[in-house]
Amino acid sequence: MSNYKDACRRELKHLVEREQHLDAALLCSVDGLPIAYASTIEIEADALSAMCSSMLSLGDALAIQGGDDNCIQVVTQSMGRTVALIHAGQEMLLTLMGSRELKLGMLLGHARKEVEVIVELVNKSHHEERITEQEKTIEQKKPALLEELVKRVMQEAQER
Amino acid sequence: MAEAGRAPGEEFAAYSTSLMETSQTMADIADLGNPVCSALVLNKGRMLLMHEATIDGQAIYLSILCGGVPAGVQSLIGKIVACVSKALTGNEYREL
Repeated sequence: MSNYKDACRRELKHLVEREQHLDAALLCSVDGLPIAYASTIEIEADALSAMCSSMLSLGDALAIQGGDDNCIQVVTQSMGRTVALIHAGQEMLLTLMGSRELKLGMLLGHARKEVEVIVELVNKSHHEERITEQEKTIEQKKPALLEELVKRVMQEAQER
Repeated sequence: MAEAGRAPGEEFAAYSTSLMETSQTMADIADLGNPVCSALVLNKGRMLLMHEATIDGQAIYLSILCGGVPAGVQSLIGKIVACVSKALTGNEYREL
């Protein structure tokens, strides 16, 4: 779990450093808990995660009312910044916050590409976890070595 | 209050208002400044644009469903709000 969180944090940090007008990137769960974030400005990750989750849920509800399955992105434009929210897999959402200099199309494009990277990171982490789990199970199922068996039998015989 | 075109129904209005209010709260938390408008990006490049305006001390919420992002969207929103203001109060709209 923490592996993928660290990988996501590194990825978001890299994105924010790479894109000049991108001020913050926040990954949170659909129930509004922060998972990873990177920013060049001060943000309240906990409160913002909760609000972003609510916004995207409302966006989905609105889209359903309009006959769609869900909304692809939610955008809020303010005097100072533009915020884009997008689903990142089934259980997470990504928030990108850009300054007014960053074009809306660019912001949405970054969001789409970043989600692909994050989903890949999470899938990779889950895959690695599954393999580790399988290896553990195989290790547990292995028969005891003959030497160990002989040793144990000898020990038990001595004890008698 | 009023609808034109293929409006999705009454429940839509409640969600739209909630979304605008949530975006206001989010803007306050993140210190983003006053929200200008919010938008939903939908399938097939459609967009639902939402805007809050105050006319004669009362908040109104405007939702516009479009096939793509129209050119000069902010001036379009301004024009619609001005029309609504004139219809409701008889006066020209003045932004606060």
